[in-house]
Amino acid sequence: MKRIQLAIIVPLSFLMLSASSAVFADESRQLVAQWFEKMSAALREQNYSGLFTYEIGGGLDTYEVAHFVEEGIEHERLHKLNGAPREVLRKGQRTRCLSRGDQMLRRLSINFENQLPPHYFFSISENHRVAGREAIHIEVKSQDASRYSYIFALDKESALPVQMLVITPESKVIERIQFAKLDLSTQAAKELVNAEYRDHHTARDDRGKCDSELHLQPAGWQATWLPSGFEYGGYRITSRGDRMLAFTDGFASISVFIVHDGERVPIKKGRAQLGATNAALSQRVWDNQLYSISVVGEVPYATAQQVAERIEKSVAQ
Amino acid sequence: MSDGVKQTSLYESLSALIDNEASELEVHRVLAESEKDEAIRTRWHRYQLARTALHGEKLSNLDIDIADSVRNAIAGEALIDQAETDVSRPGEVEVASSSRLTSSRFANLGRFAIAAGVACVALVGVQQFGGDSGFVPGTAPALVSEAPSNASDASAKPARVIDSPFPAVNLQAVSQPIGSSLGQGTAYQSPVRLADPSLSLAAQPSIDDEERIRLYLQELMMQHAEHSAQNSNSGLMPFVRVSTEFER
Repeated sequence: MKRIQLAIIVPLSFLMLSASSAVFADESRQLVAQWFEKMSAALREQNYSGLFTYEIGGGLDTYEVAHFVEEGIEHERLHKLNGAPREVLRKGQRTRCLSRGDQMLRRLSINFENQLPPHYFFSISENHRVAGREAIHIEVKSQDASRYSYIFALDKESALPVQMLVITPESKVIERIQFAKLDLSTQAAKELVNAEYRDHHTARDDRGKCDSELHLQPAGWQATWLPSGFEYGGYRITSRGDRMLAFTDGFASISVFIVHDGERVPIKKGRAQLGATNAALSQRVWDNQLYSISVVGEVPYATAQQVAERIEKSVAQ
Repeated sequence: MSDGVKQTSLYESLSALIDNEASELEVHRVLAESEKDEAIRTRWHRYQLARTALHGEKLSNLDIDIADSVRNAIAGEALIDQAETDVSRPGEVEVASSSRLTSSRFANLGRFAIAAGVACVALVGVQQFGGDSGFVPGTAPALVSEAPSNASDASAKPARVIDSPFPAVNLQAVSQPIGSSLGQGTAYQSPVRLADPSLSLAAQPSIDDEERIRLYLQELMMQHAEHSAQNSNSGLMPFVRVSTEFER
């Protein structure tokens, strides 16, 4: 009799335990989704300024950053504080205009509606501290070797990412960004954004075309293989008149550059790496024409290479 | 070792020296070879000149000495290059020509001295070391350096391609005509290693080839950063990536 009881009790308790962890997992996932939604919005809409460090390959750089929104238009400034002075100014994006990456993290993507980016495991924990402020940790672990994993620390008050680690499939941290100071005051952000600058690169602004036009995939070229979960994110003609296709899975992005006059590109085949960013360069021939195909992305080299190999020119072109 | 391979290896050592990543053995080897070989001296000088021209700081502030023979060679060639190169900051060329280095002190210069003198953006490393292998679940992440600190490990050392201070990151600047030589704001720094030497310029790429490769990669990275800044939910992080500089 006792044996029978035990036989019943054990499966029952196991069932209960499974149910509770399933509930916990769902809740946890829901919480992660809410935080990423807040993060995506904060990055676009929050006024902030701060100091952060960027660590890569044993090097450490310090940056000052400011982000200010006025009448729904973003103004951003990034200023490198050590070494040669460098600045990036970006302005003109409308906060209401969501990129594919924004859509994916806010669970608005058509293919993955109401879902977090697939192909990652998520876990969340509280009671962390970054830049003297309370922070939430979210681990974003890739389910396969075709992409990197991440650890984010989000500022509890604003949901801004105050720390980000990029981790290879071999579990090595290859980049770390961490705020030392974060100020959410509008005045400070505005002053810093408008501060006098010496040199700057003004990032190209495609947000003017905030409609389906940007997201329409051009006829003629196809990425016949992408890591699952990557979506088409845009198309542009580069300053040299080459085609560039963009893809994202919400965290990483992949750019495909197609150069018609392959002879113009000084590399026939090659590989480049800068921290988490890998580039695979190759040449292909279609219709007796030499093309150069370059794939650049925050993905492992093998992924970039595979994407490059599977770019196809369709007959329609 | 064939002459070609030996030469390429020497160029790599020279590049490492300029990047302050050379081992003591490499430093001695470059110095010894440079005394024998005019081409090495020329190359060394062009690397150094390019570095100097990129940056406002004066090498002479660093109290660096160099072997007399090398110094003389550099001093002589600097004048020639000054005439040939359209550098609108003549003070910097003058600095290069007056640099004094000794072999005994070179190895002990320290990374910071070199880094301070040549602070440029290391934009892209072209490398051919082993690829990304399988997924290792459950292991704790560890902070690693992509560039090995042991400079003698040349097989794994990413060749660093150097960007100018920010104006050259500007799309317009990087779009200058291919093959332009060492003008203001652009400079070749270290040999670019390509994945498949048989298919590439890697055997003994000329300065112009390397410059073209550098510019092309720089352009790709910049364009990608702009896309990535919009699509990866990491704010201006992609621009941090392309503007970073490895001051090791």
